[in-house]
Amino acid sequence: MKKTSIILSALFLLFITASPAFSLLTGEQAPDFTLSDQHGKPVKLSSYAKKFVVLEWLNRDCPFVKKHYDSGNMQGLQKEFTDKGVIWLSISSSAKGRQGFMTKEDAAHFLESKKSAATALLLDSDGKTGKLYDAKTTPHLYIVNPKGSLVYQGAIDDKASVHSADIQSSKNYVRTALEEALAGKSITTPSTASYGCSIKY
Amino acid sequence: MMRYRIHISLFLVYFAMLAPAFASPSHVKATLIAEQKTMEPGKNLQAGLLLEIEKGWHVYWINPGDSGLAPSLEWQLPAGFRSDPLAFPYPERFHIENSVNYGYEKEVLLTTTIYVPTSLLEGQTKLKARAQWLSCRDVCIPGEAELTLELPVKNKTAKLDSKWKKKFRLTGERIPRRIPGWISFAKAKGNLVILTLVSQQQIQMKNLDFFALEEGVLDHAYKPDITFSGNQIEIKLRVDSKRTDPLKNLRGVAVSQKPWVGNSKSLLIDTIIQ
Repeated sequence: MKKTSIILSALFLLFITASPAFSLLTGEQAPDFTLSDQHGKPVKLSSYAKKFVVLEWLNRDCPFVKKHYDSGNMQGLQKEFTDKGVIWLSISSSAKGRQGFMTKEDAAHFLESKKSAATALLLDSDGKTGKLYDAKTTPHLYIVNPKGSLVYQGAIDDKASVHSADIQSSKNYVRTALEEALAGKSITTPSTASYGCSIKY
Repeated sequence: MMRYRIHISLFLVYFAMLAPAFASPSHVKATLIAEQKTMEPGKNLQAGLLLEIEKGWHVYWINPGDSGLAPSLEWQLPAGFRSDPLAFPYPERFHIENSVNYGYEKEVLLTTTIYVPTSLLEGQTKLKARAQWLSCRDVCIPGEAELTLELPVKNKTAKLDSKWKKKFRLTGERIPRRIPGWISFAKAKGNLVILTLVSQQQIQMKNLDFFALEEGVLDHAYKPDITFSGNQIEIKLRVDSKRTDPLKNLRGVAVSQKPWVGNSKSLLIDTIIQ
């Protein structure tokens, strides 16, 4: 009897170690969250039901993020789609004391100095939302459709590099996915491997 | 007072002598090196990008894992020269934050074959290249360098450079290659891929690991589950859960600290998934 329970607990432990890390599949319901924005105001994902929502993980000091902000590429993409009614939520998951950590004042300054066209910059310094979405890199982008399903997750484009000069010849996955989604089409490339810095949880 | 100053400046000189290896803000020193001392017209040459990495920092493999970026080398070769793509020795695993990366600490040599034209005249030849890399600790810093490899051209068989030949030999043992006598096949089973390696000889393996050559194929954090039976090895791998289409091919590197054959510790796998 005792032996059986030992075997069972060993099996159970095996199961735990072998069970997949939580990972979100494209097509699944995007988990809801509430985070504070640059004004300290709570923002809840599900309050944007009926809209397309982009989630963009950032770390202002990561060279891959700088590539897309210093060139204006990220802001251009934000402007193009927020003008079409898309909600764009930038999210910082850097923990306190780690690279890219932001207070709400830092977040407000970032939005203003970078001329960001994001709807809001949300602060996730405990990393809960980042981990909920299994966000691995900065940048890492997700698109949620008006029904709350995840329709895209991955890289901003197909050129993993830190050089702004590469942007022009890159294929922007997020633009393509948003154009297709807004046109009511299915998304050709719903998932890609994101590239960038690890998130400083 | 004067003597005191001299001491300080000597100290600074001493310090400067210690420091230059990592004077680069990216914490990596990049050099172009060749396996041989001279270049012979019409004969291939083994060259490489040597990256010396400051303690605590790392650079990435061809598949960097969950984040990061592989180094690159762009040659600006004189007319008639050609080069192969960089060969990457097998990597180490790093568990950083919530993610797993594949890369190198301390030092890595990325090698390439340079094809030297037969028409080359005796004299000095300079081969120029631009190296780019990303080095990370908890933070990441991109680095780049314009590098030159200068070698005399001589119409006689080139001698290996004793300074570098060992490094090229040891790196060669770590570069993935197909090995005759090993057969591989793979099948899908749910979210797993089961790779089977079969040898005609008795198998002796140590610290077996597997790395996919491309991103977005396997779950990088999943430590391969390995079983031996007779003359075959079964390696269970987990497919990247974010994939939306089924995996058709498995391209990767199986690494064993006991060589697969001779001194080769990494076996290149390229097999369809049944």
